Amino acid sequence: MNLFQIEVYKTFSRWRTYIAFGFLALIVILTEVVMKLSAREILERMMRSMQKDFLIFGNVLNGWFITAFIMNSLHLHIPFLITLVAGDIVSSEATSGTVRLLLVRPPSRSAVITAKYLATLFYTAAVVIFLGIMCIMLGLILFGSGDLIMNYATQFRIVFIPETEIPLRMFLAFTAAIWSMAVVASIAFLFSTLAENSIGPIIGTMAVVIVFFVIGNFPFDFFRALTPYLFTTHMNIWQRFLDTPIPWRQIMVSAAILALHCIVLFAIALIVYRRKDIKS
Amino acid sequence: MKREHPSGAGTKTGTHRRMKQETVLRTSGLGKRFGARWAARDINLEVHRGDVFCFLGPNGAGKSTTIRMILTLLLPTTGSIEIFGKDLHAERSDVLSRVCGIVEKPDFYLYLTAYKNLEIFGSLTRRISSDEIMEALDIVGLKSRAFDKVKTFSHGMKQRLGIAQALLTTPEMIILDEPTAGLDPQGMKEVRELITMLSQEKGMTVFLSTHLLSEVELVATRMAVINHGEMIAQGSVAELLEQEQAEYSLRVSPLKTAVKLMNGLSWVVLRPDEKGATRVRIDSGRASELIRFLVMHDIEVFSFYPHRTLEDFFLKITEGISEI
Amino acid sequence: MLFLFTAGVVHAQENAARYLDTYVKKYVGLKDYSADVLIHYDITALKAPDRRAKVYYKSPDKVKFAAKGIFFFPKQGGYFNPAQFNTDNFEIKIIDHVIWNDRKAVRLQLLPKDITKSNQRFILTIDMGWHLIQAFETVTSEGRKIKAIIVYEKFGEFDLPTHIELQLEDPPAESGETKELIPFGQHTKQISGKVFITYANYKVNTGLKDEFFAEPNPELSQ
Repeated sequence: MNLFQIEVYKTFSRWRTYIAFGFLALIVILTEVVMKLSAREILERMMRSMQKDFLIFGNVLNGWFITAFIMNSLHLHIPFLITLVAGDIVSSEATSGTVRLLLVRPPSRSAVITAKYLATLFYTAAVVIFLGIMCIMLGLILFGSGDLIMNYATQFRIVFIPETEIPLRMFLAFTAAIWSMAVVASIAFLFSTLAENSIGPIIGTMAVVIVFFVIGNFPFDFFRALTPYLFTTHMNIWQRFLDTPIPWRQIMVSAAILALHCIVLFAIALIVYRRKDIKS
Repeated sequence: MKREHPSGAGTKTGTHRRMKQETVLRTSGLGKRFGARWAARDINLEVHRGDVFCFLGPNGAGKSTTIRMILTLLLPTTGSIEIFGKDLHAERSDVLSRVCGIVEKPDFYLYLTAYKNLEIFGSLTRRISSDEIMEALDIVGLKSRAFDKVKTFSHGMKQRLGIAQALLTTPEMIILDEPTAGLDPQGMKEVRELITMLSQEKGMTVFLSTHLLSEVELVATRMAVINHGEMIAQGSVAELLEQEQAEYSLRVSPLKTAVKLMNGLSWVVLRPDEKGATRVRIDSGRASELIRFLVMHDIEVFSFYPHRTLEDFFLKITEGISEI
Repeated sequence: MLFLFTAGVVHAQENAARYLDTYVKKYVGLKDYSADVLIHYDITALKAPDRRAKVYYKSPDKVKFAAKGIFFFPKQGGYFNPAQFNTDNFEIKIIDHVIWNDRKAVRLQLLPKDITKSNQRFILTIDMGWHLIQAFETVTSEGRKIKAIIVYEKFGEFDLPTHIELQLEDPPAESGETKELIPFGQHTKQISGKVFITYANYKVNTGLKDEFFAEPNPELSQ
């Protein structure tokens, strides 16, 4: 086993890793069953404005729509699930004392921390992919397929994506979701390298994400001016792949900003950890 | 200020090893400061190949700090470390592939099995086969628990698992920080036997820290003494523990007759002991003479062993230094 | 004087009803039709590709669409239903006479007689020679304005629309209304823009059954 494999193995050998998967499975199943039972109400609410002017035919409330709906609802909550592992992956070694065995072996601290970071990203990707698979599979089983109607309520926009384009768009959207969640994972990871316990990094990351979200949503000019610089603003990059036309320039800018966050956060974590005295 | 015994290797080391005197670990002016406090200062260790080298000192003396620097867990504030003639920080990976270290207690991943833990830690050094893992577990008596999770292990079992981990990577030098701390007498005995085995059968150099003087006498060939962060002595165990007069505990029968007989000897100073035994203070070289004397007078000698405390030893060492 | 005035008004209304009646009677023979529909949306708030469907109509008011996937079709003015403007249902007034595409046309205002059913008003521009509705405007009960321009071609004995251009207009914002400082963006805007509908492959009076319209909308095979 190489370092990365070891870290992934360790991560997926702990029950706390599966909290996120269990939570997501529960939420997805509950949401989809409830949506199935209240399909008419949801459709009416969703299409209220459109139905004033248009007759709407076809399977609007389909598996793809459900997937986008759940993603839209959960993309603010997934960060908290990510931190459970990302905030723990380094600090837990200090808590359990295993760091004293791990860091006296030949692999350098840089190699160890890089492997841990990659394992964190792997877990992050696994959570998002799991969510995607759950939503899509269950959605298609319960609601069938069809074109995707994205209702951007806050912008008062409805985007219509033909069924043939959806699989590719969904793939890109989930890839983008992984990309944005990687920033949250990177924050938690950095905190994890600074701490000797897991609670601090988890709570610290949650605090950062919440504060940034709140600042980004305040309807005041001062905060609005800050919005483009907040990573949380760019975390909905995934939604842009479900827009028409796909705003590639915006996506590239957001992706670059998110990547920059990841790089800087990891670089700080690397520098800190290389020089850290292991006293635990 | 420290006393150095350049003769090096002790009595338990083979002649060929004494001849070679290859230094496998050398620290020069090693120091670590936390804030304003020096946890270790100007540590100059020299460990030779084949040594069972004890790093002796009371709790808080700076033993763990020094070991953590040697194992790269702490960055030294001053000084340098050479292992196998190579600078540790310049050639860390190469050096540490030939060293195994256990700091304080070996903490494993509790949620994994003993086997998986060994596989993980072993593979950090080299590719490890399943047979090698099982063999290492067999040596430390944990083969039957190979696939049990470590969270079900006692402290002693974890210590043995730590040694199995050391065996697995076949290091040239093994560094153990207080390996018997927290163990019951049986556990301590087992660990000491394993240490002796590592040295004598596997030919490993063993560097271990302890605050137990008796442990030094039982396993070590060479030793260094540290107190308040500073190294105060280094040399062979035989030389450092040699004293002009030593105190011995004596269990004999009949006690009254023995005491009466020994009272007649001018070179024996008797000290009272309330546990059916007695203590005597004699010149170190006359221990065998006293035993012979008692046996010749039909006194049964059940036990006769040197009775020394770390405090006595430090006092002696310190006195020695002040004399120098 | 009062008599003369009243008689003038009645005469004017009779003339107005006549224009509409002629139009309705022109299509009395149109029992049903089906046609292929291509719809193009030019609406900021609705980003959708062109959609294809098939429309089925049976007089006086049955309509059905078969589409592949999801299909948005304008509620007002999107499909051709000559029976919609039955003169019995409206108070009809002539607004003025105009020239429309170099031809004489009359503009009529239609006010529903029974406002409990609908209070939707229409303004129709009817070609006086061809007796066709070339354009119409309507204002919905919510104050929404919709304009349509219709282009016809002859299919058998009937002039049927081949292109309909619909313009949906936002009602003007009320004074004092702010659209910006609404926390968390729950705006209550309406859709505005244009919809272009093209009809082709008409099949007229094929005898579509009532039961066909009772069934769910079928999927259109491509």
